[in-house]
Amino acid sequence: MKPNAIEQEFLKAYDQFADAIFRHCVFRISDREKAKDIAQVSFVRLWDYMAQGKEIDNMRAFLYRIANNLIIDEYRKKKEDSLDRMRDEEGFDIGFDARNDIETKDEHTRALRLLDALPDKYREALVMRHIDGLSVKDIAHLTKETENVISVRIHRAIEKLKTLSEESKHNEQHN
Amino acid sequence: MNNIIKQLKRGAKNTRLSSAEKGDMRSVLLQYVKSHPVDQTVFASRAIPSPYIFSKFRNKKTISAFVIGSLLVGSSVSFAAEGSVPGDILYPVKVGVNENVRRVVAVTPEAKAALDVALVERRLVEIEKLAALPDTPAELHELAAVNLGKYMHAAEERFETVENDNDGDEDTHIVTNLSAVLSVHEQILSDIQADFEKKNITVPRHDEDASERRDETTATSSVSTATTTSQEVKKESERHEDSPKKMKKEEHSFAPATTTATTTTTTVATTTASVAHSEHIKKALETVRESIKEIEVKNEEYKKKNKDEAISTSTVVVTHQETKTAEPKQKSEKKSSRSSKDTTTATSTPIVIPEKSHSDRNNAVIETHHDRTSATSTRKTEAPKEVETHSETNRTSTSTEERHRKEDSHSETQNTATTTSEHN
Repeated sequence: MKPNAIEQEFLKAYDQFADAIFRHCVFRISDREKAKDIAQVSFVRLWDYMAQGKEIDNMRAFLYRIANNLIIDEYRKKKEDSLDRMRDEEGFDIGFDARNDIETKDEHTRALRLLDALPDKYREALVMRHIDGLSVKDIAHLTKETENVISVRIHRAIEKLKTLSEESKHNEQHN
Repeated sequence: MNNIIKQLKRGAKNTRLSSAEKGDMRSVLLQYVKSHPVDQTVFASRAIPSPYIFSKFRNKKTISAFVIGSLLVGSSVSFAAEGSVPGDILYPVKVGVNENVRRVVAVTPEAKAALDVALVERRLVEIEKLAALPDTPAELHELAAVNLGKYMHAAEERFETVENDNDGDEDTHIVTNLSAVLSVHEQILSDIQADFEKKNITVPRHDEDASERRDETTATSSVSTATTTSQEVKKESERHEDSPKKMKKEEHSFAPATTTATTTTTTVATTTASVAHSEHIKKALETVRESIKEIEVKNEEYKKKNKDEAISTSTVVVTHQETKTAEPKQKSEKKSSRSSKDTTTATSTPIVIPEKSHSDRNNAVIETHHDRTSATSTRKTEAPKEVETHSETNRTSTSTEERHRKEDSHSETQNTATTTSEHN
């Protein structure tokens, strides 16, 4: 492949997957600006790989894997930071664009908060399956787990969300 | 519960980069792409070839195709090379590849010796083929003659090594083989030579028109060469008086050549070339004859040696048995030794015409002399028989008859020699 063609392919991949990767990042780390950074770095990494002349079979899966690795790095970096502190003190940018629909925004914020309370491996599986719309097979391939494990994780994530939702409702009623 | 997922999905639909953000990110990435261009060295040939390149099925296919193709081509080339003569493109393949392969395959000393004999025969066949070709340069003839000498030498060396290693049975077997081959080809070569001389007679008749272009000096030179050949023949006849018929035949074939050289006029090129041609054939013939002589001498030596051994063993046996039975044995031994002596005298002749088929042979020689084309076909079939009878005569040695014959032939050759000298 000629250098020009590689550049064209890269830009095409950006136009096609930039939003999806950004969305994935938002739902994974609950920070719009950080999600933007991670999305950008993901594409930089993609270019580094492509510039070496290596070929990529599945661009989408490849991008998700890069993003996933970067998100894991991000988690490790701020392990000491508690999620609560992050949410309360630093503010919580949910990356929601529909600013006019306040009710939807509220519901969405609540859902995202629940998501935030999930353990990361459940969250990863849930986001990939229901937000990114990846198949169980693709997720298994990306995370290097078996399809069975991913299916179980998705199921447990939903179960967990359910209990968390009930708990939060119960708490609101008490308050 | 489904609500939460629905809410998340709905939220996800609305979660996207604004067009400004997307544009910014794109420009940043483009800048990055420009500052980090594609590694051009990647597109150059890879420095280290992959060690797994052979494991790919496609390559296996090509390799197997290559192997099969090379086998086919190689086998067909070596097969085609079998019939080549010096000067051919495939001749080096014949000598360098085919014969070396045969050499490698021949493991036992007997097989090696047999191979050497076979190779000598091949060289002889080459000389014959070259002689049959009309326009062969002199270098090729020389090359063929040199090759013959080389292989003959190798065969003789092999012969000696085998002799040193083993007892005489195998040696005699090899020697008889070699002498058989040599005598057969000696016959063929001499026929070719005679053929050639015949042609020399016919050629000038066709080239009557060319006689106008004759150069006196070259003509005389050709005459001189022709006379030298006749002189050589004379010498040879004196040397090998025991083979009257053959020499007579050669005399016949040479004598007209001298007459044609002197009487009829020929173009310079054809005469000189043909004379050179015949010279080469004659050379080869001489080498063959010499080696026949040597080999027959050796053959006799081995026979003697064997007999001596046999005597020594028999005497040991005899001491334990009655003396009456020993006496005839010793007589027979003496007889055989005497016969061997006779044959040693006979071996001084390069061509020994067997006694039994004497009259037949004469007829055959006359026949070949008159009708060459039919004789060449019959010659090959006759030749082994001759050899067999020849070896028989060695053993039986009807010496008195042979002596008579020798005397006759001696006088005959002398007569012919004188006639030729008169002719000159």
